[in-house]
Amino acid sequence: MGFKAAKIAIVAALRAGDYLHEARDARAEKNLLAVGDIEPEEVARLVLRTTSRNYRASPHHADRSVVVHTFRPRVDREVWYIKAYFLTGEETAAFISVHRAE
Amino acid sequence: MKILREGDRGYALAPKRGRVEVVYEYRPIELEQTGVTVPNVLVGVDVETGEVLTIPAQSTPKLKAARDARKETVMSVRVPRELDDVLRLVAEHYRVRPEQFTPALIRYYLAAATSNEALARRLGKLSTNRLARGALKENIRLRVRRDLHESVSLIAANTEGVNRSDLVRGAILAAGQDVLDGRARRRERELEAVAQAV
Repeated sequence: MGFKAAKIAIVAALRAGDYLHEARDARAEKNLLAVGDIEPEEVARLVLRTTSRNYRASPHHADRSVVVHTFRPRVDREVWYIKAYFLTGEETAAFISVHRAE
Repeated sequence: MKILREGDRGYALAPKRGRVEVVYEYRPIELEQTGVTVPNVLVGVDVETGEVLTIPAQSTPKLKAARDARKETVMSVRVPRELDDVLRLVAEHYRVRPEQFTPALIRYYLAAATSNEALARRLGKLSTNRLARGALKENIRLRVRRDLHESVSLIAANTEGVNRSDLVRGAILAAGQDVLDGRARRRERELEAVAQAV
């Protein structure tokens, strides 16, 4: 799945409410989508604002066959950090991180 | 929104074992930064190890509510019995229970006063009214967000001779004037919506 397909799939998952969060960052309250500090539509907007220069695909450390999509859009002078993946054969997006870049 | 049920199964990535099967269960979840334990959160649990690996989107409102509750503080304000009567009359006007409506009513006026200087002055002035100066025999407790509590403290600090409790007593009298005496139709309609929401 390339940059454009990843964008489309993640935005579709957000708008359909078909997503979940890795528990570790959610419990640490670093995933702002998981704890309700940002709305899914806002995250979709951030993903849509990401250019290919601010996108990276990399293997997941727990399963190298899984591609992790990292979006780092700059919006209103803030850089965001959004990291998500899809397990093979699933439409449900799994979010690792959603927060402002430090 | 995809809604999962307890007992549903799916897959997740376990840190050292890769793709594993999870079963969804309601469990207490501890949030590390705020130190809150949120009861009955639907989570994806590793079938083999019992480790919590995923949290579905439908669980977010519970996590948010628990964090928001930490951002609240309790205000305890003593008022004359006559102001308690006013609160009950206003609640009756909207046909709601005063115990439910009073906190929302007071928060409404305090929040409005933080962005409306004229209203803030009015609450301060009303707190000197004869009805607000009676013997303080009733006690009102309400939860307010910390940021609202701080804003109300700021208004009180900037208004000579007025403290937070005075502003609450002023808010009750303002509600009496606006609703019972029909002095502010727009505000009365807004409070109608608040009354329907509690």
